[in-house]
Amino acid sequence: MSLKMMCDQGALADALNTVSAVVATRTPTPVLTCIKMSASNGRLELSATDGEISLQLALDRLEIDSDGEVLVPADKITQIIRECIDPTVTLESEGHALHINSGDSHFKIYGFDPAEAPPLEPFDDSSVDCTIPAGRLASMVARSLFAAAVEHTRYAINGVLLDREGKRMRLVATDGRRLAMASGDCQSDADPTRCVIPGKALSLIRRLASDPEAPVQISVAESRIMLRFGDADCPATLGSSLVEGRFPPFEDVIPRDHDKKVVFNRELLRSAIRRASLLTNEESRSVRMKFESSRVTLTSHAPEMGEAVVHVEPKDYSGEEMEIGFNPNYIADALKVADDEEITFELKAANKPGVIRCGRDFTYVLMPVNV
Amino acid sequence: MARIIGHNQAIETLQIASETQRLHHAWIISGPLGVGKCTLAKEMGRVLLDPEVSNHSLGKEDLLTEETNTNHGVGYHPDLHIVHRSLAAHSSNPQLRERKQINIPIDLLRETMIGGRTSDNRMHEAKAYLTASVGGSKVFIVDESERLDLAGQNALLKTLEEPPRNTYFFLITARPERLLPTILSRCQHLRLAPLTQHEMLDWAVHRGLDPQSSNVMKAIEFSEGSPGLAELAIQREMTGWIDSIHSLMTQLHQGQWTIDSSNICIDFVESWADSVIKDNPKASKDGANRDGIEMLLRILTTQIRRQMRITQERSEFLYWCQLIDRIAETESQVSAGLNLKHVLEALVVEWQEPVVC
Repeated sequence: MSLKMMCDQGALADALNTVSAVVATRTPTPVLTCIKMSASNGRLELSATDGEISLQLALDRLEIDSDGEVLVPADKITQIIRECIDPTVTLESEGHALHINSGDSHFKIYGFDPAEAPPLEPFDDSSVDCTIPAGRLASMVARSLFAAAVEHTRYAINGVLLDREGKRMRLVATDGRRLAMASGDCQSDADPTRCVIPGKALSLIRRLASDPEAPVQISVAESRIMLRFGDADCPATLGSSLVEGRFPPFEDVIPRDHDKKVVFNRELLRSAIRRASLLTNEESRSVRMKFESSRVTLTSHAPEMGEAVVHVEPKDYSGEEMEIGFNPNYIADALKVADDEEITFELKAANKPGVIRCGRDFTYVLMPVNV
Repeated sequence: MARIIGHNQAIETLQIASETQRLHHAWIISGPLGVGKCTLAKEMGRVLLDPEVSNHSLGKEDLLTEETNTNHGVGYHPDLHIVHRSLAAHSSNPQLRERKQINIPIDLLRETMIGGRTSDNRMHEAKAYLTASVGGSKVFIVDESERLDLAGQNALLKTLEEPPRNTYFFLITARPERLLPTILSRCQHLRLAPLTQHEMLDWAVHRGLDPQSSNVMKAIEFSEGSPGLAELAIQREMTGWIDSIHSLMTQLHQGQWTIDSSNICIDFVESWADSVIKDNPKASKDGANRDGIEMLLRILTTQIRRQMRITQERSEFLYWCQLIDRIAETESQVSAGLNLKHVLEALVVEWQEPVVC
């Protein structure tokens, strides 16, 4: 049956833009560069996969004259709809081709037989592991993904660990020099879950979480994770393969025997770290932090370049004086995603890892450097 | 091609390993060009990936049915990854796309299999270390694995040593000696022998060819037990060339050398290279010329071996032996990068009285 429908240009352009992030840009399998558009039951479903990640997105702001489906190259359909200047576009299929009419423009793009599209696994309502608001999930992703390793031969740490026990979910990432753990509450009655999610899938989670209050249902199987965003009538379903391998026992890495605790205003510390890092270079990428009861002094030194001394006043300090060195970029990364006004620095000794905490939902462990 | 002809021992080895749940994760399948190494690996891949396909079907039934194809899109299974040098044409790295496809560079291996940062500073996820998309297993086939560059072979070691769960690697090669000893020691080696004459005739029938036809017979003789080569000989209409080269050999043997004698060899190599470039414009001209020489030398050696079998005189037998040595020397000269035209002219000039260094 040939597809015929009219829809809002902006909504379709946004949806196509999101779905095209999944398609394989260059592959010997042409159908993997395509988006499948299926119109039925008053809604349009856009779906794509690159073999590892799949995304299905439903749109309901449209008028369908005739149900049908087409499989068209993602780059061309996305470019065409984005450039249309009329607020509505009309889509009509003819065989494997798709006609697009918008105002004074008419396009015809050649596609493939929709039956050739790899079938995508539907979301199984009976296997929901937990439900969490989209905004909270996106925030947890932002607070963990940045710390994941990018090219580590221990492949499991190139992804982010999802660890849920009871109604508490944690996303944990590490690259061996630092570890970020974001926690949040969720609704669940299922058994504990643990899996490692690839970074590309997590980046898509942030794009799909446009409505922070909308629920996200998560289902984890042995080799795949599925996430359904929004209500059942008009959902977006993201599926992804998981990363093989065993994630390191991260809980052992988080120090619990600290005896110095410093509370900072986040913005003040962020600014001080930024200033102190100005006089560091590739060879001496470290900032020395001297903790005293009334102030913390940040010093940096780059040979043949200069030295920097920055004072920052902590809100609260408990413990003895000490000096420790850290990579300023690692501290700045954590302060960028910690959105509370106050952060807490916990320390033990100059050769022991430090911990940055932001409320009860963000823990960041970083290894010191020799200064 | 669906049914595997011959290679019963190799099939049995894979079946036993699979049945006893002791299938090694990494295999080298070696054997002459076109003998069916990649076909065997793909069929084994189907057995591993499709729970509907029985282990006993390997090599006996048509596994690549329309139904199994369309389950995951035509000719596509998300967990069957075939790495070959022509994949460079689909690389995200423009430099890799534009370059001639001489080998399998490490960047291509990173992009399609082992992940990591490539020379264009892009990061690629290690597909080998992601779980299977459909569930169950994943299969990676590296065709012409001897073309992996040294960095690629070294980078592959870790994956072969610490393989992800339910993941199987098949390295296909006609030249296993070009693989690093460290790779060889991590893989089970399966050697495929050339098919017998009877099996080749069976292949011709299966392929819908008339085994009695002169062209098919010549192609089978040229292929020396490799269906892939016989297929190539028929597709590229090589039988005419084979006749011309045979008559040239007879002339040379009778001492009828002329200044143009080497032209037929040069024309054959150029014609071969042109057809390779026509099929794949990204193919390397130099590589295609070398392939053409390899085919030419194959035609010559086939004929020499035939003469050696029928000759009655010791002196003549020695003459053919010397020619075999001369052809081996020609192979070395081609590998050393000498001018192909000069190498062929020298071969033809020395044909009457071979001088072997």
